[in-house]
Order: sequence, then C-alpha cells, then structure tokens
Amino acid sequence: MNAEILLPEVIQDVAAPARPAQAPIDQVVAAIRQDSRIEAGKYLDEVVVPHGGE
Amino acid sequence: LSAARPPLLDRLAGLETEYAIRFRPRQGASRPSNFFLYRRLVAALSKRVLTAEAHGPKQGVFVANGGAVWFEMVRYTGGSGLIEGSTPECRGPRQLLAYQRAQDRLVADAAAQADVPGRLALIKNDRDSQNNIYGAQENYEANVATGWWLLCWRIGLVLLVPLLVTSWLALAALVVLMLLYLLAAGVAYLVLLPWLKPRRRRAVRGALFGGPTDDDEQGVLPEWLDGLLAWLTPVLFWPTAGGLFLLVWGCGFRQARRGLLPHLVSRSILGGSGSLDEQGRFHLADKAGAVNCVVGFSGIFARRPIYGFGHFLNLLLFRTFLRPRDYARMFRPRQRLQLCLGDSNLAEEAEYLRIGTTMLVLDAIEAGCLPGVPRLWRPVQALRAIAADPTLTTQVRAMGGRRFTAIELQRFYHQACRDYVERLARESPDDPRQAEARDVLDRWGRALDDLRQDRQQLVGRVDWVTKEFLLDQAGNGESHESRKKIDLCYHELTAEGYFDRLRAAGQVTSILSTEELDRAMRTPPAGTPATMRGHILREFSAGDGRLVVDWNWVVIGRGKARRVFDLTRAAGRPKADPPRAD
Repeated sequence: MNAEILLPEVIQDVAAPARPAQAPIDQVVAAIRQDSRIEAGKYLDEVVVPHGGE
Repeated sequence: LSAARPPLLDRLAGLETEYAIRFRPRQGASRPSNFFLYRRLVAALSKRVLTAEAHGPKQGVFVANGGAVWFEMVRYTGGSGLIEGSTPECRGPRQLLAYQRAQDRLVADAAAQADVPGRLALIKNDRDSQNNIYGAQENYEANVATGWWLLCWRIGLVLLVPLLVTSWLALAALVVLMLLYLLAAGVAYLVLLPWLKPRRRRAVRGALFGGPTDDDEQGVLPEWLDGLLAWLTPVLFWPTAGGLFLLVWGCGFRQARRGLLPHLVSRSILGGSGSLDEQGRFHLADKAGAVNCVVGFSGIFARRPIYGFGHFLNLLLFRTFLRPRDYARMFRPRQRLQLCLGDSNLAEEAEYLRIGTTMLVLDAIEAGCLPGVPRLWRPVQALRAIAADPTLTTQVRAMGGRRFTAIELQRFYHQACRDYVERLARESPDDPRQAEARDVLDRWGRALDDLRQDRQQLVGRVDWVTKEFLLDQAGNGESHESRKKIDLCYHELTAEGYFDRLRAAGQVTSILSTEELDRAMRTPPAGTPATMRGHILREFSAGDGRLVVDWNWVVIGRGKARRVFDLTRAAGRPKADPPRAD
C-alpha cells in the first residue's frame, strides 16, 4: 500500500468534536420513562424480523 | 520483528449491518411488504446520493462512497426481510467508524424521507422482541495461511472441485424440477380456470405460484415450496459445505483464529450493546447468547458461529459458477476473515474499540508479537457466560486450569498490543498510523479502568453500560414490555430513538467530527477497492451506458466498448488513471 496515498485520509484531527448543549440527564430519563409506557406492546410487535438474518 | 510484518492498522476491513424494519401504517392503510419498503427507501436514498444497481441475484445498490445497501432475507415468505448496509472497504478503525456512521445516517434519513403509507424507521440492533437474531458482521483482511499451511489450503481448494461439481449438478436438477413444477402448475391452472370463480382464482394462483409481482412487490414462492427449498438447499450443498468446512477448520486462518478467540470471547465488555432476555435479565451483548459454534456457515449448518465462512461457500457455489475466474481469488494468501458475534453499536467509542482492538490484535498476531495467548476451554460457553454477567466477575477456564475474568483477558491483550505498538514506534517513529494506534490503546485502557472502578463514566461511551443505566433509571419498576421497549427503542435511528435522545441532550461522547461524517457520505475511502468503485459510480451512474457494479469488479459499456476494471488490483495501484465518462 502506498502510504502517501493514505495520508490525506488517515491523518485526521483527533480532537473530540464539540458536544451539543447539555440538557440535564434527569430530564431525558424522565422523558424516556414516559415514552416507554406508551404502546409498548405495539412497539414490540412492530419490531419483529421473522426468521432473523445472517 | 520480521521485515515482512504487516503495516500497523492498514488491513482492509468492512462492516455489514442488518437493520430491522419498523413500520406503522397510516390510519386505514395496510402494511406493505418489507420489499416494498426497501424499494421506497432506495428511491429516497437515490435522490440524495448517486447509486447503481448491484450485480448478482441479491437485490441491492452500490452508493457513491463505495458502500452498498441490500434487501436481505433468509426466506421468501412469512414477511422476512431486512435492510442491510455494507460499508466500503476501509483501512483503520477511525475511517471504518466514519463510514459506518455515514451509512447509518444515509439509510436512516432515506427511511424518514421514503414515500410510504406510514412511518418507516430502522432499528440498528441484533435481536427482536421474539428473539430472532440478525445484526452485525465484521470483515478483516488477514492471512488465510502461511508456509506449508498455505500449500495445504490450495491443495484442499483443488480437491474441492469434484464436490463443487456435484453440488452444481444437484442445483441444476433442482432448477429442472422447479421448471417442471411450474409447467405442470400452469397446465393445471389453465385446466381448472373455467370452473374457478373470479374471487377464487387469486387464491389458487397464490397457492400454485406464490404472490403477485409488480414493480414494488417481489415475486414470492408458495409457502410450502419456500419451506421445501429451505430444507432441500442445505442438503444439496452439503458435499461442498462439508468439504469446505473441513478445509477451513483444518487450514484456514489457524493463526488468527487461535490468537483472536479469547479476545473475541471477552470483547463484549467493550462492544456489547446490552439486551433484556425474556425473564428480564440483563445481558452485556445481544448476539452472544445465540452463538452456537466457533466455525460455521450461516444458513447451511452451524448457523451462529463466531467465525463465519458463508462468504467462501457463496464464492464457490455461485460466484465461481457465474464467473469461473473468481475461483482463483481463493488461492490468494490474504482473504476475508468474517466475525459474526459482534453487536451493532450506537455509541461511537464502543464501535471504535470493537474494530480498533480487533485490528491491533490481528496486527500483533501476524507480526508474531502475541505470545502466550491463553487457550480457552469451551470458548462458546465462555462467551455466553461472560455476556450473561453484568457484574463482570465470571471467570472462564483456560487449558491448564487457570481462570480469567473478561477484564483480565482484555488486560492481557491490551498490554500485548501496547508492547507491540511501542516496539514499532522505536523502529518506525514516523509511521503515520502510530497516532491512531495510540488513540485506540488509550481509550481501550481507560475503558477497562472505568469498568473496574467507575462504570458510570462509560454512560454514552459503551452501549451496554448506557442501556443498563437507562433500564435502571427509566425502567425501574416498569412492566417488562416497557423495559423491553427501552431495550429496542435505544437502537431506533430516529430522533425518537433513546440513544439519539441522549445524544441530543449532550450525554454522549462523540469521536467523529461533522466534516468526517459528511465526507464519508459523499466520497469513498482512499487506497481500497472502494476508491475506484466510488469514482466509476460517480462518473458513469448518471449516463445511459451499461454499468455493472460488484465488490471486485466493474463493467462499463457493451460489446467492443466494454471495459472491465478489477477493483482489487486497482486498489494496489492507486496512481492508475481512473476512467472518465467523457
């Protein structure tokens, strides 16, 4: 493999990208708790993969 | 170190991901088939990026970045079918992570924009609510064998030819039988037609020939015939599959399989995506509990292996039949090693570690720098035991009686890879891959420290820890159905998906920049077969000429103007002039 060709793709800025503005974790958890109660059985029925995959 | 050691983190690698389809029809609308949804998803995808139909019997399209999107199904009937994405061939874990995330974004956006009578979403996980298994596979270029073992491998390939011919003859007999059946069924239908009431005709047609066919519906078989074929096909392929199994088991990837196995068995503590079983118990990994053998072929026998060799069987049985020169590819010393036990990750760091640690371990193995790897007693049981224990205290037994926890096994590999990278750094301090290797090692070490000391530090970085946190905080005291919804909806690739909600709230650690992700959606990686594939696709897909795209080659034009490009050779000659439409 020609290393020169790889350089532009390989050497990247490894600095972590900026995080989006933070919302309190408790707020997100409360929203997920609320959502998980809504039509949970129906949701499970919608995510069925007969015979599975490879 | 030997002069012939492989370059650090430079092997070709690619990921395959099966996405479950979740569809909720609009009020009054019926649910279309999964194939219909796939077709509409691809139509939406083609509005965003250039695509070209893939060569071969499997429905799929290649996209401009060199990757592909497929319709994957195990059976023709029963509502089977998933969306499958294949990343382009990449080099290095960060690049592969970028293309995996680009693929996730492209298919998720296409699902949201698809013209369908309802709401279509994709779930990137490995186990549905009824315990059907699907999900992720990893592919790494590796030495299939060296020295005498390579000679044995090649002799074995030649000895397989009579078995292969036997399977082809059996397949031809099956095709003839199918044609005879269709002929007889057609005659029977025409004879019965005058006595059939119009509303009965459709039912009889369905029983004899399967479902209707139009642009958006895939022709399907009658259910009884589908079941018969599912039973008969493995029987017909058994001679070749059995011979190939013995060859792979005896000669294929011996060094890599043995050196990697304890790493893979314990890797779920970093890359597992977490799962709730029917009894409500939490497991580190979705797929590990279903693994039933070390070496196998999906669909023929030993269906849930750690190391999968179905691609060799596919190459021998079908690709060689359609294009005999593809048989020669199996004689090359570098081949595709496929791992079937990994989970689909949402957390970038988990995916980066799953790929990066495996690449580093393979590098160390092929350089001969991984001495003293423990040999596990009953590795499949060890894999399941580790994945079923979120306390991480389970010990698995190695030959000789010594016992290891998953963290201890990972520590062994981490230390061995660190020693290997440091040794390389002394010899080749200017190697551009050093920075990436050190990044993998640092994150690997930190993750192992956090698992032992303060697991909460890994929320947003490791999937199973994040999901366990959500189940504890949001699912505590809730019904099993609600907790299972948390388990599945964590993986939904929409703004309503629970991992995406955490991401939107800034509770997730990212590795990739927006620029890397955007670039990976549009352009192929450099220096791999995908480079030329993506280039040709961009140049020719919008034209009127014939364009046939495959993983290994591309055909442009017909007759005397026909040009064939071998992508695997092009990848080794990156300075070759790429073809142009003008």
